[in-house]
Amino acid sequence: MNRPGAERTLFWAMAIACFTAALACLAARAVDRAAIDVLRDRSGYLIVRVLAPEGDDGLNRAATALIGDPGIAAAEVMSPERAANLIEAWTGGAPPTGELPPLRLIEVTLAPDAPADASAARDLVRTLSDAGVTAEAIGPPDDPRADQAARLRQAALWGAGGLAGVMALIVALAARAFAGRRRDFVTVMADLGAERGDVSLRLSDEAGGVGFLAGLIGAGAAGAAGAALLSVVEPNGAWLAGLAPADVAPLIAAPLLAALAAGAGAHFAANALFARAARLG
Amino acid sequence: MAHPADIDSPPHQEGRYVARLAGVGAGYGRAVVLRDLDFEARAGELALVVGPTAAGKSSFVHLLRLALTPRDGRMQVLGADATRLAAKARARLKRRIGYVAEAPAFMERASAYANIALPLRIAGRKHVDYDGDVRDLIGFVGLNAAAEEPVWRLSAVERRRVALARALAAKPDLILADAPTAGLSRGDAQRLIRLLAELRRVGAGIVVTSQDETLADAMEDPVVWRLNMGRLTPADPPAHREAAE
Repeated sequence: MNRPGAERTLFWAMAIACFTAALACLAARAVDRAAIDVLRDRSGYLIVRVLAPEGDDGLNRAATALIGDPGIAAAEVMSPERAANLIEAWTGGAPPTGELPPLRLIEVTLAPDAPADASAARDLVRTLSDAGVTAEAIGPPDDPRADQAARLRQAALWGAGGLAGVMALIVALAARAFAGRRRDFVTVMADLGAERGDVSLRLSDEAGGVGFLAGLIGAGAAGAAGAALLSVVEPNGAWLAGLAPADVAPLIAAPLLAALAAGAGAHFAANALFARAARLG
Repeated sequence: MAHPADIDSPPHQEGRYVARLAGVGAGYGRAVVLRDLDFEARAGELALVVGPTAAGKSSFVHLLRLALTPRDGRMQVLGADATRLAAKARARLKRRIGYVAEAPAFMERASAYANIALPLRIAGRKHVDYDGDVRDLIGFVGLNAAAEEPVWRLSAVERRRVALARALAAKPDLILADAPTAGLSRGDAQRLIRLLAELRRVGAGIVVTSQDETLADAMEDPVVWRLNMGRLTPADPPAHREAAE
C-alpha cells in the first residue's frame, strides 16, 4: 500500500507549481509597478512655455495660477541650471548655462489622480488663459526608457500569465493522476449504481481541497520569499507600507485557482474512469 | 411454461422474472463473446451457470449487471428493458442488483464496515438507519472480528465475505456472483455457497457462475445452465418450472 507516499508526491508537485506561479506573478507585479512609476513620471510631467505677457510678470502670474490648480501637484519656474541638467539627461550633452537663451519655462507635475493624457495639456493651457496668460504645454521629449518600460511590463504580464497557465496545467495533471489513484473507488461506485455526476463531484471536491491546500502552501512560500527579497532591497520596511491590494492578489488567487484546476483535472479523470467502469465493451 | 424467447409475457408474470434474455449477443469491440443467449431467472431461484475458462461466464454476469450492453436480442432485467436504458435509469437499476465479482474491487483503505455500508450510503440512507442492518450482515457473513479492519489487510476469504455482505446490503432483487468460490478451500467454498443459497428465502433471484460443476451438489435445487464458447444451454430439465406451470 504505497498510496499515501504517491499522493504526497502529487501534493508537493501541486504545491511547487503553485509556488512557482505565485512567485512569477509577484515578480511580474513588481515589474508592473516599476514600469507604471516610469510611465507615470513621464505622463504626469509637462513643461509650460509662457508666450505672453513677457518678462517675469508673465512667468510669476502663470506659476501662481498653476499652483492654485487642484489638478497640479507642483509648478516651478525652470532655472538655467535645471534646464542644463534636463538637456544633459535627454540629449547626453550639457550646454554651458551661459549659452542658453532667456527661459520662460515652468515645470509642471500633475496630481497623481489627474488624467495624464492630452486633455491635461489642454486644461492647463485653459487655466492659464483664464489667468490672462498665453502659453503652450509641451510634453517631455521621447524617452527610450518609457518604451522599454512599456515593453517590459507587457512581457512580464504575459510571461507570468503563461507560466501560471502552465503551472495550472501541471496542477490539473497532478489532480488527474490523483483521481487515477481512486480507480478502485470509481469502479466500486459504478458497480453499486452510483451516478457519474456524484462520483466525479466527490473526486473533484477531494482534489479541489488538496489543490487549495497546495495553493495555500505554495502561495505562502512565495509570499515569504518575496518579503525576504524586499527586506533585503529595502531593509527599513518601507515596502510594507507601499503594498497595494493588487500586489498580494497572486497570493490570494493561487489557492483558489489551484483548487479550480485540481477540481477540473479530477472531474475529467473521474468521468473517464467512470465511463470505463460502468460500461464495458 | 414461458419459453425464454417469449419475453413479452403477460403482466401478471412480470414480477416473477428477475432476468429474461432472448437471442442476446454481446462482446467487446469487434470480439463477439456471447451469442444468441436465451436465459431466464426468477425470484427465489438459484441459477448456476457452469463452464470452462473463457466460456464467457464473467461477460454473462457483466451483461446481467448492466455493465455490458446487448448488441442484439431482447433483454429484461428486473422488469426493465436493458437494451434501452438511459444512464440514470441504468444506475438506479444497478442499485437493485447485488454483485460479487471474481476479484472484487473495494475502497481498500476503508474498513470492511464502510465498504459494506456503501450501497446504503449511495441509496441516501443515514448511518443511524443502516447501522443495525450492516452489523447484522457482518454477523451473517461471519466478519465480526474484521469489521473495522481496512479491507487491504483482510484475507482472500474475508474479502469475499465483505463482497458478499456488500452485495446484500441494499436488499437486492437480483444477486450475481461471478466465480465466488474461486481460490477458496472446499470448506470455505461450501460455506459461501450455503450463505448465498440462504438468500433465496428473502425472495431474491440468484445467479452464480463457476467452473466447478460439483458446486451444484452443495446447493438445494439449483437451476443449472452450461455456458461454452459463448453459448448457453440448460444443463438439466427444468422440472420444477414445468411443475410450476
